[in-house]
Amino acid sequence: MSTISILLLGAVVVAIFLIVGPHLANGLFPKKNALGIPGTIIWTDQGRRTKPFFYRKFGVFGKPDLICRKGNTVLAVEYKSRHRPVYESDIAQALCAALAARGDGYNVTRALIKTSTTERYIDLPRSDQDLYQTIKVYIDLAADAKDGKKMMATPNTRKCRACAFRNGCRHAI
Amino acid sequence: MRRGEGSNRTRKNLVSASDVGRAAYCPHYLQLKHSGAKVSASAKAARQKGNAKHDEFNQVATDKRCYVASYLYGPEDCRTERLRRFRDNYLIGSRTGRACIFCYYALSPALVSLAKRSNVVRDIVKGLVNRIVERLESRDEHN
Repeated sequence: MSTISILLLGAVVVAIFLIVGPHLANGLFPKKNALGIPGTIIWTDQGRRTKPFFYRKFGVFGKPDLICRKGNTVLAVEYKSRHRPVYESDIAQALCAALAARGDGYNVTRALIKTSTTERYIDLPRSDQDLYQTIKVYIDLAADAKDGKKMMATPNTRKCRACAFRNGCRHAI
Repeated sequence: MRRGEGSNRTRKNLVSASDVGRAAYCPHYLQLKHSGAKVSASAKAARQKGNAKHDEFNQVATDKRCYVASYLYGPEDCRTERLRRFRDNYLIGSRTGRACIFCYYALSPALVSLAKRSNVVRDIVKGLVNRIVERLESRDEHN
């Protein structure tokens, strides 16, 4: 085999490696960011200086803690620092934040609720209307409370123990 | 027109995602909140702790350079701080030290990226950095 042939063969092998290699690496070792969440971070909440997302059609606003993108998946992340599982209230909050983000153009397709010990992924409905319908009951309750209506209590030992208004609530157990 | 059927809302009619979460937690909580009920001291303390954890979470998320020690131990860990002090008190004062810092900054993002993808690499890197930290600690004790 001549030197030129060997060099050409070597160049072809290197080219194949450079083209195929990253895809192979991503398949074998899925890329995660510093938080261990798959995908590239495309938006973060910087605190007070970061404006929330608004979706006026559905009457909501809010911001997730992070938005990541991996391929066609856009993931809205809600982080809870507690060492406990994911609760229904976390899911409702995360879905509402994802809906609000859609209102500002982020086509969120998945939600992740992450605590110190647990992760829960939720695939979101494709249409905004369907996503809204999954949390409509809570949106309506929140709006009624804001309008000054009397709201029912759902006392529970665990919830009442952690509640910020436990001392002023006559329903607390 | 009923809520959520195509009408635009003014800001005061909108509800926040956190309030939606609270509605799922306990609707009466929101009534107490909007009526100005006093927040308990323990809840204030828990909120402050939670905010600090959130800040740490966001700091890790936005740290694009992602140093090895920050990745392994966390940005505020005492071992990370010890390595920073070593860099600032010893390495930066000499030409060799500055060259080491330059190489470290150039290589660490790729190294961290590799460590995130492979547990074996992460364990090797962690073992090496742990040994460096132990050496620094024993040297500090001697001094």
